[in-house]
Amino acid sequence: MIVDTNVNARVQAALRPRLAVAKQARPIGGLLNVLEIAHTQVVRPDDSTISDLLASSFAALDLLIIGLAVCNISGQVLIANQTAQRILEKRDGLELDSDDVLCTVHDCTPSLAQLIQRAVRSALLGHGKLGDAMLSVPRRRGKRALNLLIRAASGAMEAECHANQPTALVLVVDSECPAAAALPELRQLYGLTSTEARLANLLMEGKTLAECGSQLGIRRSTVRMHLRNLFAKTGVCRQSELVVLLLKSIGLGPRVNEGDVRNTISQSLGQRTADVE
Amino acid sequence: MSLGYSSMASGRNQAKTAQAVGKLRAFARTFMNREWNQKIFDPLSTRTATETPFLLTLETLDHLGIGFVVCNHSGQVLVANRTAEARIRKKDGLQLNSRAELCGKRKGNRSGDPRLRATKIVPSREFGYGNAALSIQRTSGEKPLTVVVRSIPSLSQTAEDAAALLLIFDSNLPVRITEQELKQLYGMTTTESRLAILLTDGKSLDDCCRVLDISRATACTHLRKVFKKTGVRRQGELVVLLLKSIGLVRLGSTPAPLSPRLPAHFQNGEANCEPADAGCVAAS
Repeated sequence: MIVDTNVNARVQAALRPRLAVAKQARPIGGLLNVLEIAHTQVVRPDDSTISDLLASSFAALDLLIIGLAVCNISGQVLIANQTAQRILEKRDGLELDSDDVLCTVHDCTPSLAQLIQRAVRSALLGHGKLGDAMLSVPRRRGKRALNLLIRAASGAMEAECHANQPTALVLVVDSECPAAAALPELRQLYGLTSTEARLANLLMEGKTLAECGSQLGIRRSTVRMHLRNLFAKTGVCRQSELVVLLLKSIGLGPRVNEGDVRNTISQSLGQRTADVE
Repeated sequence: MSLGYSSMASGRNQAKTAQAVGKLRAFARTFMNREWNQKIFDPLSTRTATETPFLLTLETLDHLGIGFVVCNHSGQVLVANRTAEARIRKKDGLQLNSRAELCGKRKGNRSGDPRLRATKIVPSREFGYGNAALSIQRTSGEKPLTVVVRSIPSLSQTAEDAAALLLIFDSNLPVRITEQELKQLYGMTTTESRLAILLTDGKSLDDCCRVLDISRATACTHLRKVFKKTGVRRQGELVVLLLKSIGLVRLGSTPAPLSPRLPAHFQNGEANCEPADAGCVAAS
């Protein structure tokens, strides 16, 4: 098979930073190995390795509770993870127009398109992070606004920057989306009991101890006892510290399916009815 | 000037490329069931069809400060993004053993035991590797790392294949919310936003008073205004709101600034962009 040297060189250039890192950190033999495989894959792309890697990296993005969208310079969405897709499907705050361009439902100044262009241009001029912008997108029916972070991706640096090149990264955060973690994983992580795990989930949503107690169907003193156990197991000493720790270490992902959340709620409801009886 | 891959490939290669692109599309549909994905799997440029989406997703995770690792069946690291590589190289909790397998010190029942044995994170195939979340103790005594493990359903079943996907979260990463951002989003004043940032960092109100050098009464006044502007009623709610709305995006350090390489058409006007595209289309 004829290997095109030009393509070869380009692929090597794209992978070089990672290869260099792998060589410095000698023990990562596996990494170097696969990157070499990946590199030959591009010339001989009928193997499944790179598509497996691609699929697993998409799966990783889909685990996150943050919506991610990769856009080209005109704001057309090229890649979106599941969270972003859900937000876009609801057409509440953010939507796609007929050309798949990301836009806000209500006009805001500066517009999303302007912010994307600004981010890309400032990256091109070497100002990097200065082009980052935050945008608060209002939603209907008294829901909290969506928060957007717009940032240039490394595609903006490409020498052969064409119109469809992925250049901007839009992170969408829906602060109303529950940051609950799956109960089995919370239990596994810190060795929690099931009530402690449910309490941890409720605290991550910003509930007070009284609200937690009524939701779980337990008395205030019992809630306090569980909270003390949570402190001991996670190694913190204040409630706000606990919330920060939980959100940072597991609240970002893996995303819990809606079915699981419903399960959690019905579990706590079941508990409550049992207590009443 | 280099053109798209297909323009240079022979007829046989072109057929192969088309086959591979079809395969990638099928994979992408499984995970992101959307028509717009066709754009990135443009058969005209193999470059975007293969490594760009992959490298881009790795980069995205770098932006969020999340480590991403793919392991094979025996736990050997196949791919790691920058954040994960930094963690592994630090050897603080996570490290590689002599066979390049990812190891960590798992929190067990004997957490008091100083001689916690290093354990392979991805168990061998026979034991199965379902979905799991692990707490990895660190040698430096900082708060443990969280590792989320997911198995990868792979088509081919050889031992060298990708088997597990690992996401690494570090709760020690500082939250970098800037005053400017809080002003933009909620219209806070400078002191109000400073107070909100300190609270989000897990400080108590007394700590905040000391850092900002204000009395407790003043802090309470500022706090009430912050509540009003963000629409929350309690301090705990405020922390959760700010962490969820900005903090998670701002977790950890942003990746090192990339060296700017000005594309030709930004230096010489837009005209240079067109011949390349035209060449691609013509060649196909």
